[in-house]
Amino acid sequence: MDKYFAFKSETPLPFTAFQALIAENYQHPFRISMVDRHKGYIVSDAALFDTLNVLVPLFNSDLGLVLTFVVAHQIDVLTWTSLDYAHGNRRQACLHLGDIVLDRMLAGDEIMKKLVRQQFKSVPRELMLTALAFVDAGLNASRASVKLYIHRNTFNYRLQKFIEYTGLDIRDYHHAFYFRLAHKIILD
Amino acid sequence: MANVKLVNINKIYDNNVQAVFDFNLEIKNREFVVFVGPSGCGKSTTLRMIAGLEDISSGELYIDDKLMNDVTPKDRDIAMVFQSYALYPHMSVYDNMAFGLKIRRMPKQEIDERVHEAARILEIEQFLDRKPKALSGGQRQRVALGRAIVRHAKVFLMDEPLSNLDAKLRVQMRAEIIRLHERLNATTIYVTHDQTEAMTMATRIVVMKGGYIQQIGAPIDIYHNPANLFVASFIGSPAMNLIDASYKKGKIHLDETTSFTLPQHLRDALKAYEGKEVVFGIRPEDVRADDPDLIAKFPETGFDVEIKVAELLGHEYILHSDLAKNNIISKVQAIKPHYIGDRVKIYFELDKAHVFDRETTKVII
Repeated sequence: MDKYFAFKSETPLPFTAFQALIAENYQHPFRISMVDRHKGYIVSDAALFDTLNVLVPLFNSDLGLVLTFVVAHQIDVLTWTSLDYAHGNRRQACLHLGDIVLDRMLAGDEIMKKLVRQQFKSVPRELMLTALAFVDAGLNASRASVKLYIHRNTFNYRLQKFIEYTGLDIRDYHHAFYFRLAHKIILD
Repeated sequence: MANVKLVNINKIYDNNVQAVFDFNLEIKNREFVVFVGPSGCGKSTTLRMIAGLEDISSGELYIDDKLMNDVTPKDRDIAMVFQSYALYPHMSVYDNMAFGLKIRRMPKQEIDERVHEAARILEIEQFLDRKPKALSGGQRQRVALGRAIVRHAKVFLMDEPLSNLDAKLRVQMRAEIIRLHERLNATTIYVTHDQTEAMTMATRIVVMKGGYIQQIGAPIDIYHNPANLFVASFIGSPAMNLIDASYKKGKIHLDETTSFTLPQHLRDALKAYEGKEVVFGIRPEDVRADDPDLIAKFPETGFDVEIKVAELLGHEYILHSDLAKNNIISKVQAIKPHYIGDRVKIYFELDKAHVFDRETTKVII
């Protein structure tokens, strides 16, 4: 499933050089969209995270760019807010959304919590319970379906629905981690 | 090359956590300065502020007497080497070193000359066609150094570049970096948590703890004249013996039954501490069992102790014993074997001892 790698640069980004440097070092398809001269996002699969982690210091030493990346399941206000926070406090890094949300949760950031709640406001309760059971069962679908007293196929169907609805593939550890935090925030 | 000046530098994050407090330091041209301290002491944060990767909350940074606070990282003329030796995984060693210069549209011939010069200095000419995955850890780190060298930057910043290497390779690379520094004569700021790296590599050390500078000085000065308990315990391996004690009538009392008289010049310095609680400090190499001159000079410091642990290093033993309910570490030459349970008589070389104020932790003598 595709992920969104939101980025922010201290200085205007030389787009061609930036794109060329990623293409040189990452052999999978990717697409860069710029929001302004300093900000944008890349759409690609999860493997790009490892490449960006290697490239982040190289962007600095070779292109003079101080870049911060936040990996999320969608591009929305929460992702941009997290990116702004990360760029202000943990610059030149490639971070998961869940890591930023955890930081802000511990700091009691109410704005961040509100944005997280908004993401899940309209998700049907049945799908939320399905997702929660899956995460609580250690990402084990068999155990989760037993816990919910439903057939394994029913469980898989609902889990897929949750993924399509939210864009959050909780079969991936980092998405599951973020969802667990989000659920805690929702409960609070 | 350049000088670097940090004036009243502070770093405060958005959540009001302060990572660096009032950091003041002048680094002369061509110096090799090491920031050393435990994890979380602010050394990497300070380095990142110099590099421009972190904003400076307050204070001023000068490189070559020019104010750098608002200058972008790429315009500071700084080269950085990281712990993870950042290399392009799909480029050859040559291309890794040349890429940054190509981006800057340097002429091809000049790029070639710089890359070959750096490769020669680092002894990696035979690896220029290889990719990073075909190199060992030490070779990769040398390529990372090469990427910094070709830039001909004014200042080199190194953030724990040897931490990912095994112990033997670390010793080897330490020597190589020192040789490199002597050859390039580059102003270098090096961050490490390893006090051995700091002692062996630095022209000056900055010891940090909790965001504060504890002491600045040449390695030998810091070793022999620690400013406080933290520096005394952090620098030196094995660590300095530190024993809670009291001072009364010219004597250090380690407990009710264990005491010894200090030499006159040390007693003079401790006049204001009569009857007070102090910390007695002495390095293991100044606690010996086999030195007749020491025995003759300080006979009152002879204590008969039982060996709890005997570590043989080859030419000497490090002995752990109990004295006045404290673990005391001493060094003896390995002329004869020593075993757990043996008894030895250890003596203190009091001319090299230290006494610290137990409340302020600052050194008295």
